[in-house]
Amino acid sequence: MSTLTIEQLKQQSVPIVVANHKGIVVEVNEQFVTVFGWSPAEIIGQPLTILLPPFFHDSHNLSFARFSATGNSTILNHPLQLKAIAKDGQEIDSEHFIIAEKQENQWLFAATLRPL
Amino acid sequence: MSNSDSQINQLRATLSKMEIALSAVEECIVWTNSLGQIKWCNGPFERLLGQPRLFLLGTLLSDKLPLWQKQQLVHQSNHPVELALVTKKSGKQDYEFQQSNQFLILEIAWSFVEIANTLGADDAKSAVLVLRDVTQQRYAAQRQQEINELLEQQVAQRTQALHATNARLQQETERLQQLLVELQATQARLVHAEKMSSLGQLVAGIAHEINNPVNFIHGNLIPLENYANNLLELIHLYQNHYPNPTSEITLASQEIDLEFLQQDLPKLLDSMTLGADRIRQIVLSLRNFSRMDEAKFKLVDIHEGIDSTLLILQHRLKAGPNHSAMKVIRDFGNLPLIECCPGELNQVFMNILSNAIDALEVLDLPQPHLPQPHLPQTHLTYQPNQGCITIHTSMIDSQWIKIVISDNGPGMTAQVQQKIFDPFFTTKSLGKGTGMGMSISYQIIVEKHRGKLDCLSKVGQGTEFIIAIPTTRLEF
Repeated sequence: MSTLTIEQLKQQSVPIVVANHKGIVVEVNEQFVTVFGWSPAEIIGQPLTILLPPFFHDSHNLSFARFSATGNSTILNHPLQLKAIAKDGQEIDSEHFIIAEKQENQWLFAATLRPL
Repeated sequence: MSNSDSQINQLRATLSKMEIALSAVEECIVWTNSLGQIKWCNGPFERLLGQPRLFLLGTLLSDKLPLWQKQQLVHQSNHPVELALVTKKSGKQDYEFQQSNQFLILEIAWSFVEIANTLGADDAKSAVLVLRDVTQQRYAAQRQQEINELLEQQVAQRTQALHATNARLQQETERLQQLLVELQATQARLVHAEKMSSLGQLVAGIAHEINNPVNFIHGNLIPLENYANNLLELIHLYQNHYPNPTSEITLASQEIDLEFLQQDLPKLLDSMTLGADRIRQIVLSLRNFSRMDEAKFKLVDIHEGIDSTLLILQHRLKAGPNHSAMKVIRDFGNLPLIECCPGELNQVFMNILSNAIDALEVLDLPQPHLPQPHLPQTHLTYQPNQGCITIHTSMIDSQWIKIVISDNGPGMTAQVQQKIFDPFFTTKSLGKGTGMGMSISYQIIVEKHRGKLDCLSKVGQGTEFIIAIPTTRLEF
């Protein structure tokens, strides 16, 4: 398990998105806005699935639910080559690094989305 | 927490349970979108492919799960995921899947799922596949099948072997039965041949022994007749020249009844000549009948053999204490010399004629209720209730002759008729019949002469034996 915290993650100059325990985007950085075209006003408050390709939705929902219930995950704390959806609908290959930490007894998720 | 948060949490809890439960089963579960791209799979499916779900999502299931059937790669269009999406029906089949170095047998069940209100056209339709590793079961079943087939094969082979053995045993039994029948027949022939041989030798010996003294008598009869005539002429001369002899001569002449003697002596000599001729004829017939030296085929006159046999049986044809004289009708045709074994043929005539006489002897005459015979012997002329034997000979064609011996005796039942040629079968009382006569006759006619011997008989209507033999010897 990485000891990297969300605050440390935010220091990196790559696109970053933060979501709460419900899977709702609560924060993005400037690089994210630049690369993926979403403005903070457009993306904050949206479910994370808006950033995922359609074939990813079912698996994401089930895995997210499982993690919420059990805390077990296979995707955290290691780089993953995935796709993310830009505002214009374009699928952008990117390396995702996802971490989770509990704040005030609620899970908070943060991910870097480094374009490849 | 708001109501919507609570509902979301409940839904997530349910989804979590589903996710965990679906990964806890042994079967691999995977579903795709309408394009056949993997949207979700459970843990067993990840382990089957050796890849985490994350790397499988979005890929074509048919690419990730290449399947084989009958040593051939299943074409994409026949892949279960395609069958589900195209046919929109459920199905189940066995496929082979190569995992590392081994082939697994997967039982794959596929289903088509369509949910109208899902977001996006790709999500509306899904193929859901459930895969079960049945390698061990199928191998076991295959092995069981092989064992069953082997067992069935062995059973079939052993059944066949048993059938073959049974057939061989059956054949062997039939062969042994045939051998037994032949053995009985051979035994009968040997016994009869030995008897006939002994009888023939006896007859031939007696005939020879009688022939010599009869020749003395017959040979001396003519000189004796001459001497007697000479003496009678001399006496006659004396009587002419000495009409008044002395009293002593007169007395002697009276004592010997000279006058009667002179009349009777020629008659007596004639009678002796006749008797001696008959003795010679009988001896000749005996020798002709026995013909022990004539077992080989030779050209003979059949009628001569029949006459010889009748002569020997002459005494039985005469009236007896229980029957009147039997009539014999010789209806002989014009036959050529026949190439046959005369001695053996005479045996046949003897057997058939003896049986006919036996049959006529038991005919309790008169029998007014006895119907008139109407066998195909229209040449016969019958005296009602008189025992009658008819011997008819004729040519069938240039190659065959026919001898029909018929009687107007009591006839035979069909049951008796069926057995008359069987060795040891007899209707006569113990000690009177050997049961071999007709068997031997059949053997002589059918086997030795390649001829035919048939019997026609009906109770109360007499019996008819039909002998057909070739005029020349048939070689086989």
